Amino acid sequence: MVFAIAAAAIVGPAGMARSAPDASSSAPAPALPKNAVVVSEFAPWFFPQTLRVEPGDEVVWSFSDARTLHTITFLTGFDEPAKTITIVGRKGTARQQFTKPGVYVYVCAIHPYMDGQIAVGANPLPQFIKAWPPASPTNVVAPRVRGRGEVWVDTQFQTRPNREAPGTITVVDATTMRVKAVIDGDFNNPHNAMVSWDERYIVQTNWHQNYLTVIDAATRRIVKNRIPVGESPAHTHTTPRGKVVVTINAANRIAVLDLAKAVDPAVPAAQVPVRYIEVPLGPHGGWISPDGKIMVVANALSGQMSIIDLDAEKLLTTVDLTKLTDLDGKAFGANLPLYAAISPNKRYAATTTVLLTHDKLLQGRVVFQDLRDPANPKVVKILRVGAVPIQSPFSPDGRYVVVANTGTANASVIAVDYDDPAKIRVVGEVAAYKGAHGVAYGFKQGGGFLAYVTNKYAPVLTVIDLSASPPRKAGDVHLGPDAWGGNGVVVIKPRPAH
Amino acid sequence: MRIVRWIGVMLAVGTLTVGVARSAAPAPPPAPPSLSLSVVAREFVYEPKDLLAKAGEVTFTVRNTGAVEHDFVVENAAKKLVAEARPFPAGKTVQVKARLAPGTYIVYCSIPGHREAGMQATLRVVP
Repeated sequence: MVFAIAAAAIVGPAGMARSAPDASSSAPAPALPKNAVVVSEFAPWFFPQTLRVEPGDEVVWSFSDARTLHTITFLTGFDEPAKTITIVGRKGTARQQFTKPGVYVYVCAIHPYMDGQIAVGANPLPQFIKAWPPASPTNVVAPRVRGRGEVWVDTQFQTRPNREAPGTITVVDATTMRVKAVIDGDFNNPHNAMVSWDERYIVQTNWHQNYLTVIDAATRRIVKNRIPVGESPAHTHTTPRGKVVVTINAANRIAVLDLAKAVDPAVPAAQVPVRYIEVPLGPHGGWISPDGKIMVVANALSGQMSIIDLDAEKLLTTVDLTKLTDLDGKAFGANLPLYAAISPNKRYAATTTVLLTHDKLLQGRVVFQDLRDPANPKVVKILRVGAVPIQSPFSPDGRYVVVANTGTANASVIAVDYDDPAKIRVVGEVAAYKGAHGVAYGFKQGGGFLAYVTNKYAPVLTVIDLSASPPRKAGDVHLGPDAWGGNGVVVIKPRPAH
Repeated sequence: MRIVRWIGVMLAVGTLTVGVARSAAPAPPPAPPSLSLSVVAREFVYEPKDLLAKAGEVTFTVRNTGAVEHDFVVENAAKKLVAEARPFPAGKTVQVKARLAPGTYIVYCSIPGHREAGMQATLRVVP
């Protein structure tokens, strides 16, 4: 049976009514079928976000409004942790019958801020699901420190008129700590961006679609858009030799293309050659070594991390994080690794993961591995950080790893020791906002580095002064009243070397 | 005329995990052309990616080692459906039979998004 929802009105983060894709029809909007959930690329993504049903009822998810693949993955309710009932794209459907009373919290494991819950029977709802739109923060204190260059923030949930999907890029002048530009374009949930080695281009992923956008870093104009690379491209890096690598989050591969082709006006976007490196399912956040030879990547949908030889464009090895021994002596089990970084000296990888077993649900870990033999990495330290840790890059001098913790609205600051990994430790926690997500580093005027932390559910960029001992919060930059969805962040002009 | 015959679910193989850990390994040599092909379906590949069959009545044994359901569709060069297995759940194995003439075919999963995510293989049928 074909399941069709023609014009379900959904309210976006700015309170702006919008419509499902068939809304151009003049036919009156039919009511939502009973126990139906519409999956969309706009917040709150699952509509309705909370659905109450009776035991024995079937719930149907319609992906009619989707533009890429999503999963329905239950975090609570079922005995099996992280039970995935579907991975499906546009026009797909998923069905699940609920026989046992309880609260079933679910997410898209590819885009984990997409969350919803099914309340079966008369169960009280947990305070688990965020309200949308969130309340705007009132305690924003501007930083007194000043940085250098520009900070480009993917304000992924910001809506603009006449766009089929949300997302802008908000540019902050680090010398004034004020917004200097907002880039509006044909984006679809721009998630992460990286600057080319020569700082001429920004390569931008569109996470709820399948394409890249290349932007001129000086003029902020789009050079080429809709370069297809694969479903849900998440993170990207460019090597010193101009090789662009992109994690294809809703598949099991890394896309590789040449920047020269991506910016060549003679090559249409759809004809930019792309080749692939196969990795375990769901590669998300990754990092490359400064020489561009090694890439580390977290494979979110398989609970693993991989190391890739970028010269040979081949997978070197994969580490199964589910089998790692946790701090309590038990195996990690089900987990969602979202980001892997590599230190400037190539010694360590730092991989963040979210534990999904019922007894440690959403707890965060950072796994440090010694990469001196990259084909045989050795785990040297595991640290507990805040809930749902996301990005964890090394500072340009390699001294710190700042981890953005989405669930606990803060950032953990880890001091790195290259002589004795046992001394790697958390030296501080800095208050951020709900949905703390991205981390990037820039130069601080007067010496040292600043860490910039984005926040998905607050239109604020948090600034941490790494030159202080211990590092401390320097303040927040307000990005604008509707600049929701701070995700990826990159500092340019100048970009620190790593 | 389209020839489609599918026999359905044959064997349950239990609970599976997405993405088994593995190191890079050299690709196995291609199998000789056969009337009986074994295929693994998982997110989001068919293994092997390049199938070679002998012309005639070909039997595909497709094992879903992934985490979610998949299907198995074979199209000829004219994009006409010549065989299919409807969606079958993780852990199951199905058999599909089709009478195939020499030529090149495309195999893919028709569940929305799966082909776009890379779940496609080529099938070459030789005399």
